[in-house]
Amino acid sequence: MLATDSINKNPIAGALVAGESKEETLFFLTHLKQWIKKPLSLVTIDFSTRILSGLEEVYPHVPIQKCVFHAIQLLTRGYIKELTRIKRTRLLDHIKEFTLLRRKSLDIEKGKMLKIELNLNFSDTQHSRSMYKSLHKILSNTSPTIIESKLIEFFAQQDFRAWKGHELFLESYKKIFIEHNFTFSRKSLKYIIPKLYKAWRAAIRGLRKDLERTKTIFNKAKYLVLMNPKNMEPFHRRELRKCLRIFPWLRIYRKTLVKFYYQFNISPEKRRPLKFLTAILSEHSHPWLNSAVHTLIENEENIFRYQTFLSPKTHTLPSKSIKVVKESANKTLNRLYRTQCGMRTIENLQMRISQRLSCPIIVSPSLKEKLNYQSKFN
Amino acid sequence: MKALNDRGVELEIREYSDADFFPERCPICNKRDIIRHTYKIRTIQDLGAPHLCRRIRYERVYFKCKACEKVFAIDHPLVGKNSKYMPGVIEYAATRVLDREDSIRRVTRDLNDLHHVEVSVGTVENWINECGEKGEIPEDFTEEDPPPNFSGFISVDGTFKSVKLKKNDLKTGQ
Repeated sequence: MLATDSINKNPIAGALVAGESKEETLFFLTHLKQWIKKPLSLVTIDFSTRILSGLEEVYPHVPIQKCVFHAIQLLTRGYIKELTRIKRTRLLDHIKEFTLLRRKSLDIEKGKMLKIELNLNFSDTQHSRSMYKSLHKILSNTSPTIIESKLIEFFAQQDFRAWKGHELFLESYKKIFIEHNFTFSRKSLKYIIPKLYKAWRAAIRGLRKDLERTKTIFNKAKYLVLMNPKNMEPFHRRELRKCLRIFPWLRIYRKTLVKFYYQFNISPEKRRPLKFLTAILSEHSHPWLNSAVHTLIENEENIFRYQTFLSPKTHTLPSKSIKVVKESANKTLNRLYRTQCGMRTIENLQMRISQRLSCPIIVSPSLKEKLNYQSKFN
Repeated sequence: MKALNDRGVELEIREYSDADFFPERCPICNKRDIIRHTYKIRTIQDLGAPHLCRRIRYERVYFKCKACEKVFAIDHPLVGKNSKYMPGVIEYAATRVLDREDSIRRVTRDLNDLHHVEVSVGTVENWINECGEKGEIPEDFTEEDPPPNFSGFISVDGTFKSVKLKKNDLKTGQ
């Protein structure tokens, strides 16, 4: 846990604690209060309820500001989860059904099973399965002339023409007779039938490849949708427009997010309540997005309360510094952690962090107790 | 300066002596009648460069007061007391480990390979512990001074890291 001076932008003090619980927050803040002695003007925190409850107990009358960076992070994380859920339900499950369909068709041809028993949710895969059934029925005949005539009839049907893979199938079908010079005869049937099944599989592979290409575009679109309009280059805007043309249902997500980003750039009088965020929620929404939206609506007063403030030296300052928890100290700690040097005894840990952040670090008794720590100085 | 070995590393020897800071008065009786009594030569390692090895030939001089006949020595301003290394070497290692997030082993390797300072990991570890003021773990801020120029605006945040403690560490009772 780390306390940072929001104006001077330097860490004041920190504590090595066993977790982000109310008790540990109380331990840290009580010692901090005794040490600093000066009254606090404002405390900026993230959306942790445990830090909030500890803070309200130690500093009951100090105004609390919810961090703007964490507010945006909360919503964008919810978005990422939601878009991943959409990708899974719309694209990955679809691709999976095509893969399963292909595997089952091979099992039928090997004689391992008689019919495809699959619960298919997508019209594409259902249609492909019905095409396979019809093809299988035709190819079960023994007479080459009947097969040929029935195939011609089958290709002329409206149902076959409506199948997305019919062009790919017909292309492969023509190749069988042009490249290999096969004609429908009793002798050639044993070569033609497997090739016809293969042509059907080529058709569904084509459909699956299309879906995979769409998935790749969606992966790009996901991050373009999340971008802050302020940080977008013309190239990003062009790409986003292309993606929204392919996935028009993403427009509502983008529109809502842009509106949310806009709230941080306008004065509090012009700001709209965050209720507009509920437009992106549905009964199937990811729980993270659901909870992010509700948390933001509950805390909106604490997020948008200061647009400018008076500094102790009575200068009006932009509020960004007090509205954002300084994450760079945490990044420094992460870098220190990555090197994994001198972090394997509490004494070393305390020394390294204290030296690196140039601030005093204390250790909570519960952490010592948890690690069964015995000081050599006792 | 002269060639040290086949790798083209040159040896630079500087000479420091306590005699350069000849004391004016005896620290015991405060008389001015001081003579040079005896001396001891010590070789001190200094921070070199990849092709330059630096050594200090330090003459530790013992002075004698003719009045009280006491023998005494002075502290050389550039050389550490009883140290085999120049203060710059220790400062370099401490800065790299404590401020630049480097590991003690890497710094020791660099000192040996690049700076031609023969030093062990244990010695560097001792320097770091001394410079980092490693000691008892504090449970409150009573020993620290309150932060200067505190603005009254603070932000509180936490970051989670799982830290593996040393196996069989006596201090952790594991």
